[in-house]
This record gives sequence, structure tokens and C-alpha cells, in this order.
Amino acid sequence: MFARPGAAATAQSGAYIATGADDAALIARVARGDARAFETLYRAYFPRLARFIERTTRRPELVEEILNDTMFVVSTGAHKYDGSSKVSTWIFAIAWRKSLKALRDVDVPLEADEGIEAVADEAEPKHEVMRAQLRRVLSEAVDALSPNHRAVIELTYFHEIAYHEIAQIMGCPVDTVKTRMFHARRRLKALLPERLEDIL
Amino acid sequence: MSPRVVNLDSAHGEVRELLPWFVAGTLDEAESRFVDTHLQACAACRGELEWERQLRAANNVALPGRDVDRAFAALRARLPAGRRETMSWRERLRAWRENVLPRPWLGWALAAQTTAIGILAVALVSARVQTADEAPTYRALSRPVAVEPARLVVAFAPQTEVAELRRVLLASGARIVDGPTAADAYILAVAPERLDAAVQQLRAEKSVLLVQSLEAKAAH
Repeated sequence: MFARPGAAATAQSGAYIATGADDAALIARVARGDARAFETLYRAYFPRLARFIERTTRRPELVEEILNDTMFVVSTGAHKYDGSSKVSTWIFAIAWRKSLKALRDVDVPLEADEGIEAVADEAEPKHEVMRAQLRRVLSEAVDALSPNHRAVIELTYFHEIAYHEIAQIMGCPVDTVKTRMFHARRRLKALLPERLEDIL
Repeated sequence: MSPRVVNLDSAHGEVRELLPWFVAGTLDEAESRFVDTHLQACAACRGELEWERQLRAANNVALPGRDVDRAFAALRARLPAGRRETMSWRERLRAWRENVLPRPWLGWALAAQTTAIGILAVALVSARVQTADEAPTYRALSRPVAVEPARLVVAFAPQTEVAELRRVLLASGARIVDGPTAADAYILAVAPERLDAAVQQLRAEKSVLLVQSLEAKAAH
């Protein structure tokens, strides 16, 4: 039997350790204007949201602005959270919409992949390539994907979010999430050496 | 969910579609069992699984950390006044109920701290009374009347940093004259006429957990 790798790999992922009940209690307090509860929630979500926004938008200089726009909505709109999804899903959905808005404001296309051939040229399988170099190449390959594809990869691999929740976050059907992941993996596979573990 | 009956060709596609979430451990039990069963019989899909694991490991590299304090300060300045001000006593009481009561150990810890501070307060007051009783009553006419400072017991939040401690003390006009006690409390001294203001000031500070006047008439 193949062990589900997620459990063993939690240390290197962004899986959130707080329970949904903790988050729901915090949101209820935020809705009543509890400033300390909001600060607790902000600090708990800051690392994950910052990473998600940075990996999705590829705009490090915009990360804190987008993150604070997101948490501003959380603070002032906490009373609108209706419990129909996890708090984390609700917050990530706001972050995704704010990220899309920021990208539209700087005229970044949301669907098209960019510069993928250029990355492919650098990604020739070379066994002498150092680990850091390969990771850089992979990072560039992921960067070359569209924001929609990057978001699915990041939410799946790092944040360990199930595909039906990703669909809720991104406001699209479940099949679209699977299709975007399939497309992203196919493009990445075309760029990278077949046996990454030889070098990683 | 009932067991799936699929032919091998369609199973390849379905399994590969689910592999990213299988690797991340976020499939439900039935889906996970379906993928697992297929992998045991399919070497090609096992190869895909290995590639998927490597891709995930390479993706999950750490990014440079960011300054959460600076970012939070920037957002706090934007929030409506009601959402950044300290809570009213009614909200504090409700927050205390929600935070402390579900965690009995925290309640006991606070009770122990409060008891220790109470014992300390009684000991200090009785020591002062005793000292006053034993002290000579003779006072030279030329000696200026000494004004005894008022004393307070204060407990700071455990994570309070020195800079914050200094700011709170300067703002309240008090200074530390003893401590930390066994309960991690400090004795502060303040000019008697500033006692009430200092108590109010300290109680408004986020880093102060408890303020108690040690003056005999204190009802602070």
C-alpha cells in the first residue's frame, strides 16, 4: 500500500495547524469588533496568505498591499461569513479575488502562459546541475504558467487544500480545477528532467 | 461510497488526475483507496506518483520571511476607529469568558497568580504597618515632610519586550521598586497624587494583565 504522502510531508508544507472551530470562534469575535481576535487571526494567516499571493501574482512588491486589502475585508466583513465553507476557504477566496484585481490593474493576463519556451531552454537535463539551480528552474517554470495555474499548484501542493475547496476559493467548477492542474503538470513535465530525484 | 468498477484504461486517466491531491493527502477515503489500489497494480502510474512527489517537493521551497509587525501596523492604521481601539470592559469580559473558561488550566494559572499577588500585597501592607508601629515618632522640626510614594502591583504579559515595558512605565509615571516576584509581578511606585491616573493608564495598556493598588484605602 502506498502511504498518503501528505501526512509525512506536513513539515515542509503550509498546512495550517489551527482547527476550523478555532477559526470560526475568532471570526465570530472579529464580527463583534474584537480587535485582539482580529490581530490573532491576522498573524495566523499572514505567512500563508503572503506566500499564496506572492506565488500566484509573482509581484513581491504588491504582496503586503494585497494581503492587507484581504484582511481589511475580513475585518469589516466578518459578519458576512455564514459558515457554509471553512474560514480558511473564505479568506483565501477573498485573497484570490484581491490578487486577480491587482493583476488586472497592472494588465497581467490571467489565462495565458508566459515565456515558457525560454525557461525550457534553460531546463535541459544536466546531471551536474546543482539542486539550487534546478529549484530555480522549476520556480521559473511555475512562474511561466498563468496565475490560474499557479494558484491551483500552490493551493494543492503547499497549502494542502482539497480540489473541491480550491474550486470554492477560485469560484470555478471542480472539473476546471482538475483541468488546470492537469495542464500545469503537463507543461512542467515538458520542461523538467524526468528524474528530478537524481539531482534534488 | 460504493467500490468503483472501472476498466484499467479509464482508471489511468482518473488516477493521474487525482495524483496531486493523493500526494498532498487531501483526497477523501474512498478516492484515496481507489488510487492506492490502482497504484499497486500499475507500474506506469507509480512512475507518475514519483514524479508528482518530486514536483511537490521542489514547489514547496521556503520563501523569504516578511515583517508581520510592520504589515499589521499598516493595516491597523486603515481600520475604522472602532476596530482598532481597545475593547470596552464588557467586551473584555466576554473575551475573557471565551478565552479562559474553555481552558481550565489557564483559569487555574490566573487564579494562582492572583492569589500570589494578593498574598504579596497583604505581606507588604502588614510589613509597612509593622514598620510604622516600630518606627520612632520623633521628627525634627527642620526636617521636610517626606512624601511616601504610592505602590502598585502590576503583572505584565509574558511576551512583553523591554522597550514596551519602558514605554508603559514612562507613560504612567511609575517606576519599578521591587520584583519580579514569584508570580512574575512587579511593585511600582508612583507619586500619590498620580495614583488614580497611573492605575487607569496601566489598565488601558495591552501588555498589562493586572493592576492592583497597595495603598490601604485602595479600591482600585
